[in-house]
Amino acid sequence: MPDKAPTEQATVLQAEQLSIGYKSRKKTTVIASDISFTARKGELIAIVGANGMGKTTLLRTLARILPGISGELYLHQKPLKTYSATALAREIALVLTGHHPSGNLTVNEVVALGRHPYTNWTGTINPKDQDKVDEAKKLLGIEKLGAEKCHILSDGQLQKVMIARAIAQDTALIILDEPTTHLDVYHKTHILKLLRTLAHKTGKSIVFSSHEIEHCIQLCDKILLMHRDGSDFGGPKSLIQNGTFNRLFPEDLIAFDPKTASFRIVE
Amino acid sequence: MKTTRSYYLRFSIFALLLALCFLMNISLGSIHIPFSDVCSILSGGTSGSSSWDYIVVHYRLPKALTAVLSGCGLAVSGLLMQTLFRNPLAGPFVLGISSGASLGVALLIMGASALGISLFTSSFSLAIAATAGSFLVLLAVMAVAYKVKDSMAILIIGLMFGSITSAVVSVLSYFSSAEKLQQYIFWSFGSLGNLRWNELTILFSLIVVGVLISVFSIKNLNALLLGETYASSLGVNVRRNRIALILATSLLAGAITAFAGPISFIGLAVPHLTRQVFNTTNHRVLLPAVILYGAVLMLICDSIAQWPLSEDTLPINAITALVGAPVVVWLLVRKQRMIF
Repeated sequence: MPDKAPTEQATVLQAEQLSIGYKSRKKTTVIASDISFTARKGELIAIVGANGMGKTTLLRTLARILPGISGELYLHQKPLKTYSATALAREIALVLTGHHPSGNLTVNEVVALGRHPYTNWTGTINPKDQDKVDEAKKLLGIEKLGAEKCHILSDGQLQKVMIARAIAQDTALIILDEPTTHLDVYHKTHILKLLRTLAHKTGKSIVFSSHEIEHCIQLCDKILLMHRDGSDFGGPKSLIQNGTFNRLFPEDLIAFDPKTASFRIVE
Repeated sequence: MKTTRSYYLRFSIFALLLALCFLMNISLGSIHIPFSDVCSILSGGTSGSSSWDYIVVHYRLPKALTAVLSGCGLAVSGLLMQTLFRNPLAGPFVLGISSGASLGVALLIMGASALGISLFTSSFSLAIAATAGSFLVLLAVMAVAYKVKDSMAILIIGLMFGSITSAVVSVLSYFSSAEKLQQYIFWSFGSLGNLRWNELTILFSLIVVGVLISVFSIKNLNALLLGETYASSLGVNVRRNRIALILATSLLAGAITAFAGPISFIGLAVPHLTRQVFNTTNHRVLLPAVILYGAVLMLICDSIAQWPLSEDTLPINAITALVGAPVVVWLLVRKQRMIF
């Protein structure tokens, strides 16, 4: 697929005036509110923000692990809550941080689990499923791994296996929670570039949370910034022009330098 | 998957072992019956001695079948619990099922006499009391499983139920006569030899239902290996799946405890032993493997329990741990790493 301007593409996920947080019987804790953004086909979107601004809560709400407090979420123009569990599993795939699979699963078994929403009750992988598994492994460049147990893999390899599993799930949207934690700067760049290539090549919409703001500015199509006064959504360039990045953190220690698109320590 | 083929050899060996252990188990006993005669009775003929025929058909065969069924059932329920709770220490009785059964039996044997009522305590009424006890605990656990979001909470709550029931049993024991206490302790040793054919049919049906639920859960069990959040992102209804697994475990462990007493260890150990031999966590392989392994280990334990050719049979509950524990220790030390 040629690299079209993403705005021409169809909407996958849309959030309108979304409030997120935790509800219990007695009280409702709102973590962030008034979040609106649109994720289109083939776009790589980063969610950035300081610790505690609700990045993970937002991702969990988008994946319908948590219910939203108020506002609406639409998947393919239909309210997210109208999807059945199986239908949702064919639309949204998840890659979590720190949730490592049982170390004795083989690479093939983990990637094949991505086919779970499509297989029959016995979970048998048919030739079509096997093709999807092989294709996903190839896209991630891990086709040489197969019968290896997950516990012998490095963190970077394991992350690729988990992403391959999400690709094999064959969904319109992939949500990743901090896919680059525990990785060195080279492998961080590698995984993020890979995500960009995957989004542009497969037409999937990929949404992830990250602390690598400088990487995200260079690699992402859109960024959702979550800060104390709300959230801002747009392309990296317009966000830089509007000076939005300076609202991310308290300004006593670091400041955003628009020329280099990076943070500088305030002396 | 193509990997399943490489397990055929191991499955064949275990099937062969099962047949051998079954024959060995029936050939051994307090009365010596020649092996050829045992075979001819089993194949539908007679041995020429009607008492031998009777012993084999009405005593040894039901006992061996009970051993097979309880070995399978306990191993399967242990596997289900270890996967559901992602905890290698889980076993069939973590939900308090055996404690519930113990409470039922203790109330029947000791509680009734403490209240001055004398109840008839046959093996069948013991089974009913055990069933009632484990069923009550099961209902409580199911209610909790429906309400609570976190599986770990269910694990703790199951342990708490266990503590409460064993405390009640202690109080009951304190006030009961030596004779009643002995009767209760004998029940708690476990026994595979109390089942007649009609009881065996009930046990068989319950085990079949439990194993069938497990077979239908294989796909979801594999998804659970990634954790509950991943499983639900793959379209697994985590709550319904959890209730199905608890129901299957309760049927399996509850039925076995009701008819054969609280047999420990097999349920905890067999899944670990099986993972070591088959070197996988894929439930498509593990489930049939633990069924075979559980049956084989139980038959061996029962054979040892009656080994000394004496009138008495040793308590099966002690043998399972005496035989099983060293094997698990040896395997873990030798392989240096637990497969879980």
